Amino acid sequence: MPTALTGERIRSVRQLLGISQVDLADAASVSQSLISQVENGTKEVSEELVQAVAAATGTPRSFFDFMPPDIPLGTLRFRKLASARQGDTKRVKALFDEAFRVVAELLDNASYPIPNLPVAVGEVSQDEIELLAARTREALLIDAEGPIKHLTRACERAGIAIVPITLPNVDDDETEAVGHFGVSCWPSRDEPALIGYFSGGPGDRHRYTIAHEIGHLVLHSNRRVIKDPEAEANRFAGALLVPEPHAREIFSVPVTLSDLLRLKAYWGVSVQALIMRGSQLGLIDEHRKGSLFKQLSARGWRKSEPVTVHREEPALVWRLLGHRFGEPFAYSRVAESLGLQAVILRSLAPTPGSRRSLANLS
Amino acid sequence: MVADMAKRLDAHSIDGRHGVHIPFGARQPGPSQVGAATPGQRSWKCENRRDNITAMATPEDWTIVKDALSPLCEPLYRCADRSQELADDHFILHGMEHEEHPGGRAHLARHHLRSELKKELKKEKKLGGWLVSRPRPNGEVTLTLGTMTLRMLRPGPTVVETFPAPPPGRNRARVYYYRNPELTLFGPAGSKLIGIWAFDPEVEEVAIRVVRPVREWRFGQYEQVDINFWLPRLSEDMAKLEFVPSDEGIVLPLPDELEEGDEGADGTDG
Repeated sequence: MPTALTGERIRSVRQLLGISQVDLADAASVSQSLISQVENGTKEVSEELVQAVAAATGTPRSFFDFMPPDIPLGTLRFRKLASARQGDTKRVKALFDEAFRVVAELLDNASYPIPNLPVAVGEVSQDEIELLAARTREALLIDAEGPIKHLTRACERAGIAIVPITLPNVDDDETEAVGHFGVSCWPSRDEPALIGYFSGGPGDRHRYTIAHEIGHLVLHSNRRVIKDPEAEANRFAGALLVPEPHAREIFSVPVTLSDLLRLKAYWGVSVQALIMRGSQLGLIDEHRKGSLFKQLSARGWRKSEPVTVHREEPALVWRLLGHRFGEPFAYSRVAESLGLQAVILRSLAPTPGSRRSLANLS
Repeated sequence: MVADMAKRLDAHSIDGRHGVHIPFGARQPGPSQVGAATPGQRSWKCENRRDNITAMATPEDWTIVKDALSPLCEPLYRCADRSQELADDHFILHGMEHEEHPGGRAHLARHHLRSELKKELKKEKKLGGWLVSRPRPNGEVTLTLGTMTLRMLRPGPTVVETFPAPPPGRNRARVYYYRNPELTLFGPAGSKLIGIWAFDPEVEEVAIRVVRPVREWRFGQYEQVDINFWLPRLSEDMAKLEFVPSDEGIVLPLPDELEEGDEGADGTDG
């Protein structure tokens, strides 16, 4: 039965699909004013309207009975470009809200452990960020030294679910245009944590984005007033992926781009991120940094670096679906039960290997 | 450190031999002589002179030359970068001005290049089989791989984007080198190549252009070369490097994933 909150859900499905009230009204053969009124709560929602919207958008009827968790705004962090449009950010938030709702339910159903990450409190210095990154490696059961072989899986083991984000009706290649890289949330220490990353782009960007988002979980889930959270998360990402002692060793001698490419293949970290890491620690001066970036630009490597870092594939959510619904499961069957479009479920929890297979075919 | 770098760049901006972009007028090589890639986008790409009726290079020639030079690109660039830096440092450290010592920096860099290549051979033994030939009074650096030779020269008399190869002049040995007679005896494996190297202000590092001369030319005339390319900084092997993530040994703590004894297992992994 429709409730007072069903109008909110109609707004959610619209934001999720990135369509206007006019588009939705056209598709559902109702007036735009009706959509506007139910979304604003000035008119009750009829079952007929819910059915019409569900049919027009390919949304399971059950979607309108679920309410997404009330994620405190301060715990939701985006890694995005300043140029990202507000509309796209709303859309990402709508998708992430639904993803969090579904993933939290699946984790709870499997009695999956919740993350036990260190949490920063109060003022945090740069040295403390380095220390917190080291403690995070411990919490994720990752060796204190050397490269992280599979950051995604280590997070998943520790209870941090990771999902690729693909906006409905937006191709992977277009996600860059949307201007978002990642998003994360950890409402409280006794709740699950979720990280989403945009699935377009190279593997090194995904790893960095995930490391950056872990930085938000560690540094910002318990602090509200932070001067520059993105800079802190970047420092953390660098420290997690290339711990300080290693970075000092790398930059103890003058490095060339050739050296950095070899290091990229070893650490799974982009040349640009390695340069920034050297700069963060004051191991290369501004002039050298500028010179290296100039060389990268001149070779067209700012957008596309040599040395492939293969993408890590999340597996936890897919396994949780299998655990809950039995394997093999059909996304269409699961969709009604979880109240989310099958196509969105598939994008959040792709069958492991499917992306690789498709990439090989193309 | 920053001040030193600034001085170094300043020095380049006044030193025509090191990279200031001076209009080259009649001496500028024809467009087909110059690699299509801009200096910043160097990759293995050869531009044969289609308007050169004496051009001899075949695709096979190009492949043989490329394969021979491939393992040399990285160490050669490493040594050239270092040599340039040492020569610059010397000028800065001793307050020397280019106007007072024209060509001095080029001589220093040339000698340092030889020294750095020798060090590289001793330390890494990785010049891809290339050897540094015996010392010459003018510090000329020549590398050999069997019958193939690469003579490292500074561009002259002024540097433009195209790094023109200097003409051989009247020195008979050099004229002989430019005529590439070994091509008839050994084929492309007997190529006598010229590597023109200098600081490229566009990318703030050394750039090397390789040509194969087919006859001599005079100052002001077009270069007579049939193979011509910017030496890339990376060999193709280097471009094949990759990072492959591995989740081996990472078990997700799902009830049906854990085998007996897994639960609570200690230990870490990368």
